[in-house]
Amino acid sequence: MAMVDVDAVSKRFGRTPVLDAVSMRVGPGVTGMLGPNGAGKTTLLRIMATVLAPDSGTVRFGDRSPTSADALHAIRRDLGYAPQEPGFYPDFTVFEFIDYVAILKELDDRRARHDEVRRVIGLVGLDEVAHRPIRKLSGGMRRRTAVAQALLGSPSVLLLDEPTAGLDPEQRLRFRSLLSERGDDRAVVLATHQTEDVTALCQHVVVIDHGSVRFDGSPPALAEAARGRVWVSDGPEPGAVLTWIDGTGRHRHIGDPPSGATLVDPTLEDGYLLLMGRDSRGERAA
Amino acid sequence: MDGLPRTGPPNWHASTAVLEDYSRCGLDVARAASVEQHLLTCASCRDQLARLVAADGAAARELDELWIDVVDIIDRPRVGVAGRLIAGVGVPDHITRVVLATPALRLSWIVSILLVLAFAVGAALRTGGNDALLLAVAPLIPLAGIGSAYGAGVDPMHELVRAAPLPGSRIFLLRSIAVLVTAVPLTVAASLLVPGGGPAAVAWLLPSIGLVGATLALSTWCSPRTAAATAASGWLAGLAVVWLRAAGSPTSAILAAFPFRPAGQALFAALGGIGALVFSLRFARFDAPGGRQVEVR
Repeated sequence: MAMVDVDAVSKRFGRTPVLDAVSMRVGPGVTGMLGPNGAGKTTLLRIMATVLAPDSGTVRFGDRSPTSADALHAIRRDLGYAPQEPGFYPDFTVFEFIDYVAILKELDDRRARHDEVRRVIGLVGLDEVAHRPIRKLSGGMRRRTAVAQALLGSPSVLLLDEPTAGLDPEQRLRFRSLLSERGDDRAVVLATHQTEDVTALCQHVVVIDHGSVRFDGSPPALAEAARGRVWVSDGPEPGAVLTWIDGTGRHRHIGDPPSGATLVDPTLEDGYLLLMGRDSRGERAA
Repeated sequence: MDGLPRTGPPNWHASTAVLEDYSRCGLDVARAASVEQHLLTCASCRDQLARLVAADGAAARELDELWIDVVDIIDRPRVGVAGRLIAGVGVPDHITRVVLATPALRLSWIVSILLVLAFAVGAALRTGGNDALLLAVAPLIPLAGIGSAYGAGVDPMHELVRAAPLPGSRIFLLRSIAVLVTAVPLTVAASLLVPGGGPAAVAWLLPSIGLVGATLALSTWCSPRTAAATAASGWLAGLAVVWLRAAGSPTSAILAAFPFRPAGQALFAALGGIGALVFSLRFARFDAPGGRQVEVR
């Protein structure tokens, strides 16, 4: 079922709209769901993980829709989900935690289950702390523990909420390698606000802001959206949407360049920032 | 001993024949122990044994199996006394783990039950066997456990539980049974400590079953915690009315209240049955995504 179709999904919490008719299609490969904090990424991921029901709209997993108990059960069997805050029993060791999740995933045979638990612990490189209580782990190790449980049973759909938060550069590299190996024949959705992760990993990117899809396409297309809108100078530019000083000490600007500006090739981050900056400007103007 | 001196300089080695027999488990216990002792200090014999085992497919497989068994024993999660007791009555390992995750089987829960019961029994003993407090409180004890057995806010892993294929209704039911198996015997034992109580001392049992049934049924509409709180509030409100309307002694009025009379006992027994029936008809609600507009058929 390595395909998830989200169609016109809306969700409110009380009077607060969180998602507004969101539609997207996730196929095999790694999809980055990019957006600022509070954009609605986590809510959408929870709906895709069948934890939360939409107020309106539908989510289909391949040819299945979670409208009957049997279909829901089949969908959940083939789904790996790592929430932003998985919630740990602090006294559980890494092995015990993942083993418990494996039981929730109906891996009832103990020997086979333990083999699978050891496999996913090895995948995220936590072998040496497998028997350490989770309360004694660093934030990065906890994130890896959360990702490990999502990999149990090699699900076709993998939903990961901010999986690289708290990881050091080496761990992040390892994580990217792990995901890129798994993105060939399964649908991986990565909710993040880190453009580097999307650049490094994703074949597809969906930008969400204020509960709506702002962009849906390939990472190069998002970068291209800023072509001709990114320039560098030696000083600040009051007309730019965004300005910052880059690693070379020069000012990098996004917006409408003045004549004669030194245009540079845009990155995915430029495209994303232009999209976000333009939206926030529009909001201020309104 | 073939090729195996009892004592000797550290440069002796086990013969190939002995190592082959050892790798095939063909040595008696004493010889095998002697070879193992030697292997601990002799890298050369260990290397030769490794070569022999690698060349012998059956021995290699047996060794792999043995190693997996060892690793499995090392990795096996701790289950504690409660887990061993549950496993001891034949409950499968994976169900034991699900049940043990409930707060209701933790030591703090059992201590809480004992404290409540000690207070109620103490009050009965001080008043010469008047167990009105015990009768009022006892049905609430399982509700507290069931209310904290499943759901957001009581289970830190609830988000993962909701996304998992193992039905939430099954988890809730298993944990509720565990709560009843823990709480009811303790409460019965406490009731029998009250002098002169006799069968009337356990008159709380059927009301308790009725309230548990109501909680199960209600929890298909709301969270188990809300369901348990609703059932407990109803029970306490009813007793409060009896207390306030009592013409004479309020505790005597409680002892003679409807739930503890035959008709009331029958009604609460029926409530327990109806509650279980409603739960069995609507249990799929547990497995539906949270929120509105999703009907799980």
